[in-house]
Amino acid sequence: MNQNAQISRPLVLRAVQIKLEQLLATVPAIVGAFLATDDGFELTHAVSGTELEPARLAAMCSSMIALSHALVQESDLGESENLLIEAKKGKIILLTIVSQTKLSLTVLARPSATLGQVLVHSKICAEAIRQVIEMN
Amino acid sequence: MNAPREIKILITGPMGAGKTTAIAAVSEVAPVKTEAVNSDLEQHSKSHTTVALDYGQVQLAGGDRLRLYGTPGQKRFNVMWQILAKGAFGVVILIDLTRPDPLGDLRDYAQDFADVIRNSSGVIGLGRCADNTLLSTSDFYSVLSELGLMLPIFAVDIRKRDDVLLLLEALFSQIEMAGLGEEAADENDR
Repeated sequence: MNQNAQISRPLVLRAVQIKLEQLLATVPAIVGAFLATDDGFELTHAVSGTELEPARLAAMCSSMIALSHALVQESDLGESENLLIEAKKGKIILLTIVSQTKLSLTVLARPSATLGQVLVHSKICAEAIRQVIEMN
Repeated sequence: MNAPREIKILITGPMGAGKTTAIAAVSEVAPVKTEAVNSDLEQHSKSHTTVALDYGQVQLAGGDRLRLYGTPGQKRFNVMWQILAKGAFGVVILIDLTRPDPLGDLRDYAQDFADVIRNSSGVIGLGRCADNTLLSTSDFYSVLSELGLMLPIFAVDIRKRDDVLLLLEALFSQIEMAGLGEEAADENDR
């Protein structure tokens, strides 16, 4: 896993997973969160009361983020940061984490979730994950 | 005079076969790329890999325009394969002869895209042939005939514009012969 070898170490992944679990505990409307590589491999996840296939979702998130990046570039808006999807039955936020390598944090929330709350806490979590990775 | 047509072509094949390179070689507009850092070095040693799509355009002499869509190579992106295959009038499968199992690669991709190929047209491009003298074009024809497919196969250097154009022309002539292009024009009119 080359550049991701550092991140893939069990200790680091466990530390990241704790951050994800804290996110779910802080905002109950968040039902799942996972960290993935830029090229679509899931690294770790946390879920509550929902069934997710993070491995499959991670590849799709990678495509989505790459497409939004291409769109942002074409529109001359600099670097793409976060991607927000509002659906009938929930919300999905994809956040880009830039450390030694580019990673993505995907957060899934129930429709009852307040967008601002989910966004703020997801960003705090993304920053905490970045720090965990940089420290290790 | 028929109105100029917009014809969607899909370019697929395993990781590292040269899909992004091929589109960059022929596109007359700056190609759209969606590359991420490759963390799966066991699959392929290249530094970046396409994770959503590549896009390019080629204008044909008659005024028709080919819209080229490159897919990600890895199976885990098969959701993108299905999305990109919608409305395609031809599929180019690029095979890299230096990969561990090029015949298996052709079998996999020809099967995965069999529906589009049967409903439209297809062509196979064999790359890096000089680096693998154990396999010949006839081996690849055998794989296709096992799958009940009759498609042209060309040895190409996908970095060369003329070689990629050769594949596209082979596709385009099938589209013309089958009258598929007329449907493409109808689609555009709708």
